[in-house]
Amino acid sequence: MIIYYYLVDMRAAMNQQNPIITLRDLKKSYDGTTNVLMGINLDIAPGQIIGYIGPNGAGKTTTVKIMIGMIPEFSGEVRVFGLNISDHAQDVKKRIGYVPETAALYETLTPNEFLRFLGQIHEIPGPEIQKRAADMLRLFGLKENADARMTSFSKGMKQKVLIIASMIHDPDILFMDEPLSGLDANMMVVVKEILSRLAAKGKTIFYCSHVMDVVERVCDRIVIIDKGAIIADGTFDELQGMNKGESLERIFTQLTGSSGQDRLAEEFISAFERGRKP
Amino acid sequence: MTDFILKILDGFRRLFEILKVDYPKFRALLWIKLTIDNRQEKSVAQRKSNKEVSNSMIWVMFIYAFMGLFAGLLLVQIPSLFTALVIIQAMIMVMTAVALISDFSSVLLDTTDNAIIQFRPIDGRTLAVARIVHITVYMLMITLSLSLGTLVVGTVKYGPVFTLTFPVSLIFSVLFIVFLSNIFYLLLIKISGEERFRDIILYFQIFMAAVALGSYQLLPRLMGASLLKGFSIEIRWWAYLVPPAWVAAPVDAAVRGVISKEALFLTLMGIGLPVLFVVVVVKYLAPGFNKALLELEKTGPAREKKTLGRSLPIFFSRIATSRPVERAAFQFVWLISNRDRKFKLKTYPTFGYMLIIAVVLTLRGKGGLAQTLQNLPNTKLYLVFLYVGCMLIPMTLFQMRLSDQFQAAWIYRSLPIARPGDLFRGGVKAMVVKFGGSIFFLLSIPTLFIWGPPVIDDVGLAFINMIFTSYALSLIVKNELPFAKPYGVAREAQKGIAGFLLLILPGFLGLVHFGLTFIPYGVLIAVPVIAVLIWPVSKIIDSTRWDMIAPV
Repeated sequence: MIIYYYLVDMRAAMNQQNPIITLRDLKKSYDGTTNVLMGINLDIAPGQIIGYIGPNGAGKTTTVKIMIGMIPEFSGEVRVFGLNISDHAQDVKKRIGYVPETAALYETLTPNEFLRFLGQIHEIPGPEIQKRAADMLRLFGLKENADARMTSFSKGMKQKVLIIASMIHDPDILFMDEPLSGLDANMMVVVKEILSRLAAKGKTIFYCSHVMDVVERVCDRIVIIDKGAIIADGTFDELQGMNKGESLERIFTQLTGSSGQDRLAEEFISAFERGRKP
Repeated sequence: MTDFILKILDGFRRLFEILKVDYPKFRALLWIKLTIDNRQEKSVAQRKSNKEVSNSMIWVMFIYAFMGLFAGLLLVQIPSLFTALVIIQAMIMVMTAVALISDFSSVLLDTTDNAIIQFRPIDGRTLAVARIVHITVYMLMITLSLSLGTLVVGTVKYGPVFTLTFPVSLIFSVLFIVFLSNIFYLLLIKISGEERFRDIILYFQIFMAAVALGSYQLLPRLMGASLLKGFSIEIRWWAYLVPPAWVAAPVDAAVRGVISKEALFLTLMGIGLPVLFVVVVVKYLAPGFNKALLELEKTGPAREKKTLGRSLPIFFSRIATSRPVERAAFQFVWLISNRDRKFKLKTYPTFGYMLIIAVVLTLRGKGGLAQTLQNLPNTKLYLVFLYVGCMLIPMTLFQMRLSDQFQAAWIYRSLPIARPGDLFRGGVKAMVVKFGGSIFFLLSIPTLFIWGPPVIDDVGLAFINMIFTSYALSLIVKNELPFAKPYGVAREAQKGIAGFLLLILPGFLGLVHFGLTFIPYGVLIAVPVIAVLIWPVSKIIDSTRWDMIAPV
C-alpha cells in the first residue's frame, strides 16, 4: 500500500515538474456537429511509455494526429516539448517520430531510397543516413531487400520499414499507432525491447494499440479513452485496483463495453439458425 | 450490361451443365469478374471524370466502334473486297489482341483470386470455364464493336450475303487471337520475371492508349490520303501465311459467288487451323499457364541501384534545385514517376502522341515529302517543335498529384517541412526536366539543324516560356502535394476561368511568340521580360502554407 502511494506520488510529481506533452481540453470535430474528441486532458512525463487504448472509433488516431501537427484544426491547447503545436508544428516535427496505423508507403521506392528522402528532409548528411539506414535494415533482417522496391514486400516487411522510418532521425518522442501489426513473434520481442530501452534513455513513447497484453506488459501508464473522453488513467496496477478484473482486456471490456459481449457472441452464433429456413 | 450478358448466358445453361459446370457457382463467379472488370479503367478509354469508373466497358466499346467505322469505310475506298477485308481483319485481330494484352492482363494475371476462391468449394472445371467465358465475352465485345462499321458498310455495298458470312469469319478471327495472345503470354512468362513481365504489358498499354489518342487525328487523314485508292492484293503464296487472308477469302468468295481453288484452300485453313490451335492451347498450353503464373510470383524482386551516386535524378536535382526539401522532392518525384506504372500509363501515351502531332503538322505539305522538307526553312513551323514540350507540362503536373498509394502521403505532414511549396517546386522541376525538358532538347536539335542560327533566340524564348508555364500552372495545383490524391475520385483541377486560362497558357504563349517573330528583336526582348515574370509566381508558391493544403 505504501509503495502504491509512493508510485502515484512520484508520477504526479513528475507530471507537475515538466510534462513533455500537455493536452488541455482537446476537442475535435470533423463535421462541426459531432465531437470525435470531447475534451481530453493529459500530462505526459518524459521517459514514459504511454499506452493509449480505446475501442474502434474512440478517437485514438485523431488524438495522435493532432499531437504531431498533422491535423491543425482543433480546439483546446496542445503542447509538445512545451511548445504550442499550433504555432510550432515544424519545430515539434523535427523531434518526433510517427508510425501510422495504415502501412501506407510509396511502394515503388526501395527502403534505402525512402529513408534517404527522410534523411534529406531532416537534414541529416547523406553518408550518415546511409550508414544508419543500412545498419537498421540489416538488424531488422531487411539487408537483402534494402534495394528492392517495396511493392513486393509483405505486411511485416513494410511495418519494419515504417518503424525504422519513425526512428531514423533519433526523435525524442515516438508516436506509434499499432506498431507491431504484421510482425512475427520474434520481431515483436525485439521491438518491445527497443521501446523499453529508448524509454530508459529518456525518450517518450506514445503507444496506441488494440492488443491488450502487449500494452499491459510494455506500458508504464495506460490511458483508456471511449467516445472521445478519457475514462481511465493510471499504471496497470492502479487500473487493477480500481476494477476487479485480472487482465487489461477484462478491465477494458468492463470499462468500454456495454457489458453485453457474451450476449453479442451468443447472438452471432444464433444467426446461423435464424437465416436457415425452417 | 453485366446482367444482360448473364441473361444471354442463362440461355446456354444446358450446354454448361453438359460440360459438368456447376452453373449457379459459375454464374456467381462471372458476375463478380464482369463487375470488377467494369469498374477498371481501360487504357484506351481514359476519361477525365469525377465519378468512379462504373461502366468502362460501354466506353471502350464506343471508342472501338469509332475506330471500326473508319475501318468499314475502307470497303468504300478500296474496290477489291478481298484486299479491304484482309486489311480490316488484320486491324481487328491486332487491335483485339493488343486490347486483350493491355487491359485484360490485370484480370488474367490476378492471382489474388486464388487466395480468395481456391479454398472455397468450387471445382477446377467451373473455375476454368468461368475464366474462358469471361475472356470470350470481353473479346467478343471488342471485336463486335470494331467490326460494326464494316458490317453496316458491307451490307449496304455487298448485300445480305456479306451480312451473313462476315460475322462467321469473325468467330474464327477471335479464335486466332486467343491462340496468339496465349502464345504471347507463355513466351513472356518463360523469358521474364514478374516486374519485367508487368513492364512489357505496360508498354502494350501505352501503345494502345497512344493508338486511341492518335486515331482521332490520324484515321481521318489516312482516309483522305490517295495512298489507299486502287490498292489491291491478289491471292499469292504469302496469303497462306497471313491469318487475315484465311478469314477474308471465304467472305470474298461467298459475296462474289466465285469459288477459286485458292480461296477454297484458304477457307479450309481459316476454319481448320484456329480450331486446331485452340485445342492445342486448351490441352497443352493452358494447364502450364496457372503454374507458370504462380512461379512468376515467386521470382525475386528486381534490385535497384544501391546509391544513386551519379544517376540522372541526382545530376539534374543539383542543377535545378537549391533548397534541401526541394532537392529531396525532386529526386522523390523523379523516382516514383520512373516506376509507378499507372503514372507511366497516363503520361507516356500523350508524350508519344504530341510527337506524332508535331511531325504530322510539320510534314503535311501540299506537294511531296521532299518538297515539303525543302520548303521548311521558309516557314515558322519550328514553333510547333519548340512548344511541344511546353504543351506537355499541364498534363504531367496534373498527373503528378495522383497515385494509387495516395495514403502514403501521410509522410509529408509528419515531417518538419516549413514550406510545403518546396515539395511542390521540387516535384514540378522534376516533371519539367524529365518531360518538358527532354522533349524540348530532343526537338530543338532538328530545329536548329533545319532553321539554323536565326532561330536561336526563339529556342531561348520557348525554353523560358516552358519554365514560366510550369510555374504559372503550379498556381492551380499548388495546394496538392505530389502523389497525394487517388485516381478516379480525384476532382479535376478545373478551378474556374483562371484555371482554364492557365491551361491554354502554352498555346497562348506560342501564339504570342509567333506574333513576336514579325517584330524585329521582339523575341530577344521577350526573353528577359518573361524571365522576370517568373519571380513573383515563384514567390506565390513559396507562400503556400500547410493549412492551404488539402488534408489527407
